[in-house]
Amino acid sequence: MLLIVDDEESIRDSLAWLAQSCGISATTYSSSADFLDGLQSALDRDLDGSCALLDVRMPGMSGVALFDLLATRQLTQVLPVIFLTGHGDVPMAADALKRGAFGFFEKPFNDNKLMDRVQEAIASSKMACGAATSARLRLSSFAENMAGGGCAADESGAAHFCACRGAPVFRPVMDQGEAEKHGSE
Amino acid sequence: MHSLSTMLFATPVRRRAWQWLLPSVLILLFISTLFWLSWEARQLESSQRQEQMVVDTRGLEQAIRFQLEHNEELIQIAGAEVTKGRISKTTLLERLNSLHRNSREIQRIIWLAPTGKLLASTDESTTDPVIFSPESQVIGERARVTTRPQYSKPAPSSIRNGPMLMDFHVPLFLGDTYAGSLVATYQLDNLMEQMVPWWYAQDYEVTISDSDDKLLAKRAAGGPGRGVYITSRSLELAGLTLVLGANSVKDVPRFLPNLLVGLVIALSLSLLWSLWLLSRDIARRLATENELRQQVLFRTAMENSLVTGLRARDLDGRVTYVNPSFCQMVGYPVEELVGKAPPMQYWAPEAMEEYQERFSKVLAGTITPQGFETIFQSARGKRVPVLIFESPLVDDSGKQTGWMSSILDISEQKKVEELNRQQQEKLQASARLATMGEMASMLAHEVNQPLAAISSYITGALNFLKNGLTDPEILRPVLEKTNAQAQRAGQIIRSVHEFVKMREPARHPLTVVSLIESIIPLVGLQAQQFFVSIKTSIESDLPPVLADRMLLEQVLLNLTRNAIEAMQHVAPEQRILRLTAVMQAATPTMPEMVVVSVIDQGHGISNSVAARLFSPFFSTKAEGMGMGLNICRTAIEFHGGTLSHQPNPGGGTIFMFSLPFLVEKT
Repeated sequence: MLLIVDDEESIRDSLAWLAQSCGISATTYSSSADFLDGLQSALDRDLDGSCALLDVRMPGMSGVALFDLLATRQLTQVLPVIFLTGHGDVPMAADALKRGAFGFFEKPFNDNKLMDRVQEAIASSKMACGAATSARLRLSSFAENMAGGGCAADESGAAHFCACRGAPVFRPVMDQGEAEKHGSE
Repeated sequence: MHSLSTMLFATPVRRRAWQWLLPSVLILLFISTLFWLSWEARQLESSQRQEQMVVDTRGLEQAIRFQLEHNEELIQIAGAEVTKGRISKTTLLERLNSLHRNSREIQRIIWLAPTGKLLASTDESTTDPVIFSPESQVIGERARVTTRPQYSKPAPSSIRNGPMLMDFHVPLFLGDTYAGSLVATYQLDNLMEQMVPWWYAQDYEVTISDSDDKLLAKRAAGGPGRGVYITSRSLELAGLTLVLGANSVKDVPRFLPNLLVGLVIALSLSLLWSLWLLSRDIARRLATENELRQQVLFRTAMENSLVTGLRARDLDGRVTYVNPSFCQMVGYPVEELVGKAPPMQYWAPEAMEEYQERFSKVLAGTITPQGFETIFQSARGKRVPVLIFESPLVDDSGKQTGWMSSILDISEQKKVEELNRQQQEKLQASARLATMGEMASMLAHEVNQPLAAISSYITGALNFLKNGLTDPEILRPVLEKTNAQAQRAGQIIRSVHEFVKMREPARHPLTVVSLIESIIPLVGLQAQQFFVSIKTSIESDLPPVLADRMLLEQVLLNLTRNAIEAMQHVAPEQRILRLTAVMQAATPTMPEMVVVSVIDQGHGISNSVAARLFSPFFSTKAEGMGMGLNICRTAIEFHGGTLSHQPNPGGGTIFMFSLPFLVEKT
């Protein structure tokens, strides 16, 4: 499943259309906060094999900040991140790549190459989730915290998360077989 | 400094001891000579008195002797004649009486018979027999025996405390037969009375004494003798020797020597007093001198420790003093600076005119108290920016003797200023860059968004077509959206165009002179930093041009800055920036135009650089954006002129642009 985060409506819409044309289901979010709010429900539908497509420049929490938040929770294996950058943001994105981002594409980009990379990311995500149940657990627990904590709108989300992670959070998680079934849909 | 102070303070003490020795010795010599002279004068006077006395006494002795001899002769003749019977007894008596009367010193003359019987006497009181003193009796006998007249030793008369008497026995002989005697008795007191002149008696105490120094008679009319001047002379008489003594009543000479000694003492004392005054004065002077020396040392130390350069010049501009700081600033030793008149060796050749002008102003007395900035050329050829303050040098009588300048080395300050300026420039440049970058990125982002969307929509659509489209209607909303995005992109481009259009230059008639004048202060600031001097030559009667002042100013500032920077590494005297404006005659292809040239003597432009000079984003500067000349050319071309460049025959580069001028409506 492709999670598109971009403040520009036309970009979200066109990328969702593009993903759809490649047979990838997509969900769009207009901001990082929106993404963090909607993450849980997105994962409920398709936990395994997800990929986040983040715009670097966004009002509020930037794509990079969102990536950093995910990275501190070691979730970038389970949810690979691909950046979309404008002119001048390349060094920032390249830096994020070093820290574990799955890829970055400079606008204007070759759309089908982007989709190819998205496919690869989804495959990588599936592998990561399959290999470690704990990772899945982590992702799901993170998502629940982000959604319930109400603290995802700002960049201090990570810190907040740290504070409330002591509460027992345990959700039934789909097994590997189920996940694969969902992924193949 | 230690050795200097030792030298300055130790020497005077030693020298003072020496310089006092000589006058002291001289004064002692002088005083002793004065004493010696006065003593000598006294001695001289004494000996003169003594001599005078000796002469007087000798005269007295001779007078007495003559008188006595005269008497002897008269008595002997009278005696002889009466013995031979040539004169009668009566005549004898007459003669003897006359002698007795004339010679008051003779008390009496008696005539004795051979038996000793008194025959006659000039003194009636004489009784027979005549009584002689024992000494006289002896002499009477001896005279008779020797047949020669003789004087008896004076003896007191028979009367108690009577006068001393001296008898002269003259034996008379007829043939060999003793015929009696004549005896003249002298009273010594009377002798003295008669024989010693009054003036003599006034001056001397005269005495007659016998050979045994027994005082016989004395006369002292002027008082007793003082015993200072004493003389004696023997009075040789027949059978008797008497001593005539003189003792001056005068004392040791007093008045003159006393005056002299008094004078000498007074003079000596006053001399000593004046010497003391002098020494006190000298001590005071030395103290003052010492104070002055301390003051001078203090001032010297102060001047030497100053970082400000000090230079004094006389009214002709000749350097009379420089402090170490100044020497250090210009790099010449003191001896090469003091005594020199302008032009000074530290004047930079390129600023000669400025120095001369200012120097003549200083000489004329029109100085500015707030100081002025200029440059000096150090001995090693380095340019030193300095700030100079001039003030008149006035002596204690209020007369101006020259000029004092304090010179501040403002290299550091200039460096800081330059650094600040560069920082400021960098900041502005980066601000501009940021703005430009931001604008560009904003523009790119803005245009990118619709383009990316269009691209994605179309790629998606193509993907659908490739996978076998079931319902073409599915593409309709996407194509509509794509169209909308394309419209949006077009709108963005249009709005940018509108934005640029708003900044279109405003052209007004303006003269090249006013244009150049308005940028000179700005150019001057930068030129000063690099010690570049600016020379302008603008042809008079240039017609006005129709131009955007701001744009042309930017062009000129750009060109001059390039020129100044090009001269950054050439010799300072070569750093001259020329701005010229001339009228260029029409050519077959070009009409008559005003040509403005910016001429430097810098490093010039190599061929490879020249080929790419106007390409955008080409720069030889580390921080250059490569837009300057490009924009300049665009700006000039916008005005209908051309911007070109060529090598300067004297080294460096000439950038020139032509501008069509405004034809006055006739």
